[in-house]
Parts: sequence; structure tokens; C-alpha cells
Amino acid sequence: MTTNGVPELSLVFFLMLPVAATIITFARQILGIKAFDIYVPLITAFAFLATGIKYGVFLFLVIVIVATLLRYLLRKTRLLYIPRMALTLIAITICIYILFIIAIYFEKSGFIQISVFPVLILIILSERFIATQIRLGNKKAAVLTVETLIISIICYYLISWPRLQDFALQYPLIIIGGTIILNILLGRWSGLRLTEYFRFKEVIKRIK
Amino acid sequence: MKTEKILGINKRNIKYIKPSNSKRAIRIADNKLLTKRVLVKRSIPVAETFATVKDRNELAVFNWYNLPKSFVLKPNRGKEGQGVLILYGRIKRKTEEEAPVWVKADRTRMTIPMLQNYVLNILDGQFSKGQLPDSAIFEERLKLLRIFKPYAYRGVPDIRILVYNFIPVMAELRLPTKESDGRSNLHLGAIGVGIDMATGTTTNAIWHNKIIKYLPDTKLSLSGIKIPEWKALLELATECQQASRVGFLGADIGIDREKGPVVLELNARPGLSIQMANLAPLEMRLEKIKGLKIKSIKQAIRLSQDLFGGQIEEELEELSGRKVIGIKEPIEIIDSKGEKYKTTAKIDTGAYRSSICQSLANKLGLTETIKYKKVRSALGKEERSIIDLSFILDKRRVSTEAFIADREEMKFDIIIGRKDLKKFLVDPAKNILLKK
Repeated sequence: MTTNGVPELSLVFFLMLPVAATIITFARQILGIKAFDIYVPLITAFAFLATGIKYGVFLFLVIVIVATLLRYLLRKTRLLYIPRMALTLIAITICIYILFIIAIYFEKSGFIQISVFPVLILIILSERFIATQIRLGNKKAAVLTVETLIISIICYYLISWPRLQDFALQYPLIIIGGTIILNILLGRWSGLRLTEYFRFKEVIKRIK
Repeated sequence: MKTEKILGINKRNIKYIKPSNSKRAIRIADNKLLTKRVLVKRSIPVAETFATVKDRNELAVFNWYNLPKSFVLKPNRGKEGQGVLILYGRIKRKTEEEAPVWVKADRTRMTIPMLQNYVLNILDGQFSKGQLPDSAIFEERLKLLRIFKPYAYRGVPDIRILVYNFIPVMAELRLPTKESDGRSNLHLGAIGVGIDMATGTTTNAIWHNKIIKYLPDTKLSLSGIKIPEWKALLELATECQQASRVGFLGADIGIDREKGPVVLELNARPGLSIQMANLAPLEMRLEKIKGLKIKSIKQAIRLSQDLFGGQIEEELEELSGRKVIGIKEPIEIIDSKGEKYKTTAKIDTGAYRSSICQSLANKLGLTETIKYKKVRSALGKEERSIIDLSFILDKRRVSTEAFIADREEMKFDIIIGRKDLKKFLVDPAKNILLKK
């Protein structure tokens, strides 16, 4: 395909998607790390790939913190859910804008040159964090957010690993076939998740 | 392997929810209004609905003045207690025209504009799965039973009963706390208390996934609470499964001071921490009843109580160092050749000495009389011979002296008297199913 003009980078991204998805399946089915379903960690990992891990994680944290602060500020106004969410997104955008100005002042060219799409994606994801905070409470939302960050970072390191990328380009069928088989096996796995061994520790102790 | 007896999320989804809960059944359980309709059709008692709001137009014309002093506001498709608001009381008004103000469990106030806002958020799907538009339900708040009063903070405790194959498998009493805002969902901070299936008495308790003995900040023991109308609750849970066809069901039942048991909600994806509250693994129980043919509700309840009861008994045995036995017990008599003969004995605390039937004694070669004794019975005075007798009751060997008696006409070949029962406690409610 590359000889016919498909950029190598696009091909790598395509082939890394199933790999990252499989990591997330594994984390959920075997380890019991829930994160925010499959979509949020997946897209976050790819956003990191575009921004670089340093700025990516930094932006991620800034967005989560600003969104949480805004939730507290807007709670007293008794606005409805959708306008409140829109206001949150606007506030985050302003923050990022200010960050860019600061970056220009300190001549952080790496930050200035971040492409806009991954930043937009990260901003939009804040909606999920806030929605979860409202539905499940702060503590649970915080746990899920940290889990998402960890999985995204792991996925990021795996999909940006040059050796794996080279391997994927050379043997794309192995990557695709392998991830299909792995996911079918993971989908049938009915054993306890790692976190459940801790959760049910007291019950396990009492089984005769 | 030990851990295979525990039901984890993966196994719950693959082995139980997928095959047992059809799409139609899940649709019923996920929609509270539909659940009510299905249950009412079978004349199963449910919490009364005061009003529903389906869209903004209905909200605009909604008459807030008709609402009672206390009620529960719920999203129709909210799951795991999300979005449930409990209005505990109403502030006194001077006239009927004055706008009512309600109070939440945490004593904060809710005015009509605040409630309108809350309902709007429900309609916008803030609490529903996939954030789809939803309706709001105004429902009756059950009146707290007196015996639960010391244990429940504001809200009303409910009883989660897990039903599979029409047999109640495990149960848990859920106590609302200050933190859970009157709601009885464990992950919102409510306390889960395990229940002995045979007697409906509480056993262990968990709070935030940790074992606790007493109600937090008090010295009230959480074990030993007797749940009223236990059998009726079990029957109700089984009926819920018959009505909804949710094959792996978590039925949430409340008890109203006046109405008695009332079904609050059905769950097609019941949580697994019920295993923690009971300190018992679920998979072991589910395996026991897989594929059993159930003929009647009565039979299902009997099976449940017989198979899954006995936690209280075990605790008692541990405390007293004695075994709990029923009125009819399987027993092994050691014959003259030292071999074991199996039969069923009647445990008779009214008799001092054990007696064995003449014909059975002859058959086992236990014929050597060691002494005679005069006895007075309902039939008058008679002289009976006494023999040496050894038997095994509930894994304990007892060596004693027993009467030989003519028991040809009696149901049991052997009765065990109190002389030989010193190492046991007798519970007349145990083994009632055991056939002679």
C-alpha cells in the first residue's frame, strides 16, 4: 500500500488501533481496570501520540482540573445540564488559549506547534468526566479518570514503540489476526478479574 | 479451585445474564414504569406512583401543590440509584396557597423551581443510560417499619433478593446512611447486611466493602436483626421472576409499615457485593440449583431455605461448641459385627433414655441385655431390658445404654433421648423436609 502513495504514518495508525483496543480489553477483562469504556482511553492515547506524551498529559490534567472547578462554580447557578456543559467547554478553551499565550511568552515552541485536533479532542472529552462526576460522585469519577490516564499512557507507549510499528508494517496480517483472536478469547474469559481477588478477599478466605 | 466458587463480573455476564436475561426482560427491568405495569398485572404490590412527567410540556402544566408531604423523585431509566431524590418532609405553611418547600434527607431545602430544574435534568437524560431522554416519576415514600428505625438514616431500607431458576439464592438488607442521602445503594455509601435464607436473620455487614460489626457511630449490632415476613418476601421475589422473566434477577423489596412488602425495583444486572455482605460465594449456590425443575413457589422457597440457610446455625455451633440437629436425623447404628446400619432417628427430648425397636435390635444382633429397668409410660408400668448401643449422629459417635421396646407400630425404629443429646442443640425447624 505504501508504494501506492498511502502515507506510512496513516498505515501505522490504522494498525495500532486494534493493538490499543486489545490492551483496553485486557485491562478490563483480566485486570478489572474499568476506565471510561473503550472510546475515551483509545482516543486519548491517539491524542497523546499527536501532542507528545509530555504536553498531552499536561493538557489532560489541566482540562480535568478546570472542568471540575467549573462544575463547583456552576453548581450554585442551577443552570441546566447542556448549557452548563457548554459553559465548561468554553472555560476550558479560554484556559488553553491563555496557556498558548504563556507558551509564546516563554518561547515554548514545542507547545505552540501542537496541532489543534488532539487538543480539541481532549477538551471535548472533559464532558465525559463531568457527566461521570454527576452520575457516580467525585470519588468514583476520580478513580475512573486516573485509570483512563494510566491506560492511555500505557497504550501510548505501546503504539509509539518503533519496533512494534516496524513489525506491524511488515506483518500487518499477524497484527490484525492476532488481535481478533485475542479479543475473542478475552470475551470468553469467565475467571475472576485481578481487582476482584482483592474485592472478595474476605469471601475467598472463608471458603472451605 | 476456591476462587471458582465466587461469581465475578465476567462470569456473571457470560454465564448468567447473557443466557438468562432476554432483551425483552431487560427492557422491563430497565424501565421502572414498565416494571410496575408488568408486576401490577400479576397483582404484585408495588410502590404507588403519584405522578409522571414525560416531557417539558407536561412539566410546564404540572401541579406541584398536589404532591404530598413526602415522596421520591426518580428517573424512569436511572440505574443503580442514580438520580433518585428523596423528599423527606414538607415545611409547615400558613395557608394552602403558599408555595410548598420540601426537605431532603440531609435537611437541605428543595423549592418548586429547584425541583423543576431537577426534573428538567432527568428529562434531558442526565441519569439515563446513554443520556437518552427520560421521564420522571413521583413515587410514594414507604413508611419506615418500627424495627428498622434505629438502623436506617432517613430513607427506608430495602431487601435485595437474588433469584435464579425461580429459587431465591442470596439476600441482603441494605441500610441507607447519611452519606447515601437516604438511598440504599451500596456504592452510594449504604450498608449491606447479609441474611440467613432459612430464618431471615441478618448475619454479617459491610460498609464501603469492609466488614463491620456495629452500625457506624453506635453500638447497635448489625447481626441478629430479624426481618419480618421473611417467607412472604421470598415468595414475592420468585413471583417477580415469574412475572418479568428476568432469569437472573435482583428484586428490591421494601416493607411499608401499613402495606407490608412492596416491590421497589427489578434489576437485570444485579451487583456482586451481596457475596461480601453474606461472606458467601454465589457461584457455589447457583451451581447447586442449575437445571432443577421447580413445580411451585412453595417448593422453590423450601429449597432455598433448606439449601442456603444455616449460616446462623454455623455461628451458633461455633459459639456453643455443639451441633444443631433437627427432630428427624439420619443416624448410623453400629451392629454387633461393628458395621454401620443407616436409618432415621427421632430426636425426643421428652424421653430420658434412647429406645430401639425390638425387631431392629434383633436384626443387628444387639440382643445382650445388660440390665432391666421398670418404667412408667402412658401405657402403664412395664419392665424393659437395656442394651449397650453405639451410634453415629451428625458425625459424632455416641456410646450409651438404650431400652429395647416394641416399636413395631411406630414411625421410627429408634428414638434418641436427652441423656444422649448433651452434645447437641435441637432445632425443631431443621430437616422438616427429611423423609422418614
